[in-house]
Amino acid sequence: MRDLLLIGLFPVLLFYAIKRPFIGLALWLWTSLVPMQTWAFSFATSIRWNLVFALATIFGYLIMKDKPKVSFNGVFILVTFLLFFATLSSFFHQGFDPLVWQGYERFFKAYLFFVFVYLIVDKKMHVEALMWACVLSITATAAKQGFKVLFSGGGHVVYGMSSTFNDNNLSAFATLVCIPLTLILISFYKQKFLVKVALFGAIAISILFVLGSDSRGGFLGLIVLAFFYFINSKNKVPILFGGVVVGAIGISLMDASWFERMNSIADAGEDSSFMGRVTAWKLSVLMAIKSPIWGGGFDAIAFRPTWESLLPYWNMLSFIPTPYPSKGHVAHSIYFQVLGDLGFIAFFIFFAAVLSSYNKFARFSKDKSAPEWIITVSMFCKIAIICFLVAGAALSVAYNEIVLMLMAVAAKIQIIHARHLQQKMEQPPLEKDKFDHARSEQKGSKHRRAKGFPNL
Amino acid sequence: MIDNVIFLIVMVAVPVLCFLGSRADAAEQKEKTSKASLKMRRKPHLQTRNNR
Repeated sequence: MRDLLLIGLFPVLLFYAIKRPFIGLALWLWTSLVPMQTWAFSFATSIRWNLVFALATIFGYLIMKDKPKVSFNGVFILVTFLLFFATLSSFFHQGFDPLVWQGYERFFKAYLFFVFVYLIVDKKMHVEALMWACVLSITATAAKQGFKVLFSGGGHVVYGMSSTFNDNNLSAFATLVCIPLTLILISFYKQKFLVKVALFGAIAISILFVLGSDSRGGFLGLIVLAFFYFINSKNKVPILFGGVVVGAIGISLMDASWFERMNSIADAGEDSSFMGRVTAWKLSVLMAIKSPIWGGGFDAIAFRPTWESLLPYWNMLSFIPTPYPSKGHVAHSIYFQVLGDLGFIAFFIFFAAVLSSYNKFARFSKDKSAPEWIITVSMFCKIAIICFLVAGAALSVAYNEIVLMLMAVAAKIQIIHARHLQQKMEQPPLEKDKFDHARSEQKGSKHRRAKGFPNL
Repeated sequence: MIDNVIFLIVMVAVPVLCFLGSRADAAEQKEKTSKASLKMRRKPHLQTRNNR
């Protein structure tokens, strides 16, 4: 039944993706964050939805009549440099060949999406479509499990939501980053009561999902998100009240093991799971020291010969006491992931791009001359980047579509804002021109009258 | 049950949003075009001549 519905929808969605490339872009993101295999299980999954929507968007863009004017700015150039380093790093890699190229393919797809967001997004509606794509993929999938957490009284064990976010920690991370994006939609739909209520409900369920995921990084990210949302909001009292109610319901559903797990954040030094991460971080640093320019390639430290080749240098970082590694690791941190995978230069490029995007959002969120929607988008995207930097500190999620989308939106908002200012600046001279022209016309008519010509 | 309800909500919301987005974009483009043509019609020299 589900498959029939999806197959029925397919031509309609494809039509809109080609007709309006910004819708194609949203569908591209929608199918990329949570693949169709999550929604249906039979013949509908034989279609490569993501590939089809990506191709339809690119085709739609190529045949589009009034393409937005493109000027390349710092963020775009930085991310392109990052692709350059990722490409060379993959050619000179020291990891497991299929794993490295799989990581490169994932990164390249995310970069391609970044480029088309940069080329196509040009106004509020386009940004809104991308936010809807996040909500209808990540938040909707989180809601499925969030309700189960609620109805099972906290007993439901949260599992991964897609191949990109394939465990409880990664799912909690994705859900957390999508909460500020849902808040953007709420502020766009202030007048639509039902939509607003549904979106607030989705946020409440997302919070339950993050709490029920048992992810300590997710829990810390949630606290940081709540703090930054609270200090940036105008209506502090209702937000405080709502936050306390949802938080109290959520925490009352959690059992003793959840509290034990969250308390272990305080004494992380004795926690084996945390110490495993420190070992992975040390391996990533050693990888970067061994290969400072290109790094080891995507997920190189997961490959036995690679991490074994790093063991002779283990004592270089002996000031951080950890046991010797006994197996391969993934980086378990966005910072160490980029460092180990792509080297020191790419590390600085990546975080320069992230911080530049953050800086743009922070600037526009306080810019009174900017249109209201730019202020709103900037404020919440800024919080989303903070969530990425905090919750990602213990997860390998550096290269994903949401983060690259935020960077592209930051870059485009700068261009849209500059155009807005230019239009504002151009208006007074235009009025003046009109006035001068009218005066010259009057003079002309006087001249004509003086010469005896009739007035037209 | 929950899965089915959310699936239905998403599968209804996606085409509806595509339709609304496409319609709003078309309306915006139409408005932009009509504004541009209005601007052309209201060129100062033409306006002065019309007033006369």
